[in-house]
Amino acid sequence: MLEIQSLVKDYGEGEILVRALDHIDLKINEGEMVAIIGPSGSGKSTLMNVLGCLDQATEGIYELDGVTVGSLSEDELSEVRNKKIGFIFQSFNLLAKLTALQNVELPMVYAEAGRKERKEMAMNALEKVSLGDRHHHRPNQLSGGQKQRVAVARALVNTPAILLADEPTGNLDSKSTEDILRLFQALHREGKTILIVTHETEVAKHCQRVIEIRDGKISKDYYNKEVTQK
Amino acid sequence: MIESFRIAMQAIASNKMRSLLTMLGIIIGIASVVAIVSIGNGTQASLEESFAELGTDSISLQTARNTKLSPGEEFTMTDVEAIADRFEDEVTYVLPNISGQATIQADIDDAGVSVNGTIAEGDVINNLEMVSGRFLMDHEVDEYRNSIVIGDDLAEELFGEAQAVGETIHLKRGNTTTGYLVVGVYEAQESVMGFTGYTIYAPYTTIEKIMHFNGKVPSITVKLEQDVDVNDFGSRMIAFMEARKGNVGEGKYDTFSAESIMEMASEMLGLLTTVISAIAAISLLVGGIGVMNIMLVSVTERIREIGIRKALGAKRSAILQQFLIEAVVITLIGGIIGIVLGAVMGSVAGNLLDMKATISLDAVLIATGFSMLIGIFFGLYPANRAAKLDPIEALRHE
Repeated sequence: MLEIQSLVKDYGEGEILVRALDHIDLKINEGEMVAIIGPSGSGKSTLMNVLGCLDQATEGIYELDGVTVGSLSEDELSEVRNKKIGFIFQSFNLLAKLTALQNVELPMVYAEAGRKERKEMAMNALEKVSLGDRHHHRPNQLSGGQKQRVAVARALVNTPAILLADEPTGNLDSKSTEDILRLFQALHREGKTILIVTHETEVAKHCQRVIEIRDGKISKDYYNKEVTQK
Repeated sequence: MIESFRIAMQAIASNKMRSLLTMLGIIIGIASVVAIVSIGNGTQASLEESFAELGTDSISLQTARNTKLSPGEEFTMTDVEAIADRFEDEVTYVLPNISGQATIQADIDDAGVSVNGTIAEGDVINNLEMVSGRFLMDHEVDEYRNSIVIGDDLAEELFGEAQAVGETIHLKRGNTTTGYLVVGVYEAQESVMGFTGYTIYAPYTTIEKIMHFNGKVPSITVKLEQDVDVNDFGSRMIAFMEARKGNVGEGKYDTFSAESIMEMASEMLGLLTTVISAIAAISLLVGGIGVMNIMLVSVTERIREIGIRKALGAKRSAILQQFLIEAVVITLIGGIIGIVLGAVMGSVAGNLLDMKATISLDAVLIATGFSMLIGIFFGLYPANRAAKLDPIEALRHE
């Protein structure tokens, strides 16, 4: 499903060269729910950006759902992000002027789907996160937890190969955090592949597999006994 | 594309005041161009109309400006006949222009009239429409009769009605007062320049005698047959007259035709239109820079939005298109408001100047196209800047 081999990411040049990712090998199988943890500056955000096709590695091989990402142009990367990846951000990143439904429709707009199909799929996705009745609300009329659920619906709408969540509960209270984690687990049971970058151990505990990054390298990679493997 | 258009409308609608102010430069520029072009067209049309009345197939021979003629060089009735003989095949008639001012002996305002000496064909020459009576006849010209034709405006002023045939009018010139018999009344046209005084037509022979021109003719008007080139005929007529008067090459004579005046007026009008249009073009340029400026602001404000859109799979071209369309929509709306405003301004000015301002479809299409072009030209740089943003940087932007 997702495989990286000997991945290196450097910033800067010469004396100020910083190696953010240092020869990482990682394989994530379809249907896995994985937490990537590590202190700030460990390189987990960089890994997230590379896995999310927002950034390209300096060296190494990255294969996502049968596509070798390393050789792609900027526009091809956009297409991969659009079709294969669903992003969920810490700060929700919804467009304030659009309604919940329009926000969810956005990835389908760039996939050039028809207007009717778009509405239908977006509505389905919203219903999946139990926000069907809020489809005409704008982000500022929604609570934090609701906003993040809209974001999850948006990530799901193009049926991507993988969901990438960057600190998805970072801006949420404990009740909403519970909600979102339960939603992720439900999606996991449906067979979705989910990758969550977090520094909260509580969140990591809900994941089936935990990968710890330190100084640009994988320092730990283990399965949680409590979480039942599917 | 439709989606980009919707996004653009949303962006403009959410910043109404800013968008309107941005459009202002475009509105003013386009409005002035449209107004100027429509007023220019109207002026051109009314110029052509009024010169067509004068007749474009006639030409006058006169003394060149700032030239003093010796007595032997002045035109006489003999010269009039000589021209008629020499160019027999090309001219319909040759008319000595003898006219002068006189005063009507009656108790009215504007008692001054200009008396034009003419011939029996004078009604055709001057495009006169008779209201009652008839125009002058050949024998009246030959026999120095005191017959006159007056305008219905003067008839009404003097007699309270247009029917003035048979009445006698006393005209005073110098110390002499003479009675004239009204034989006809013509329909006075309202002049382009407003009221310019009453005009009376009388046989030129009579005028010459009564008004003491002593056989001298200030200028000679020639009406040409069809297919005779006015300008070419003019130079041949000057050459002929110079040969007669023995002052070849001294440039003492000049010709005057409605056509030459019209050409000159059109040229002036064209120049004026060009100058004012150039000023309007500067306004459009400034407006375009305003659009560019506001688009740069819009891009900066929406860096995070651009990042989100890119993360969700928007390609460079999609972002470029979004901002370009926004710029074009702003300028296009500005352009359309400008066209409407310009049309209104044009017709108001047309009413004030008493002429018909005409808006050509060409002007509207060019103005619309040009405002879109401004949008594309000045929107390209900001839009390209937005399209080139790095998604990670953009997402991090607060």
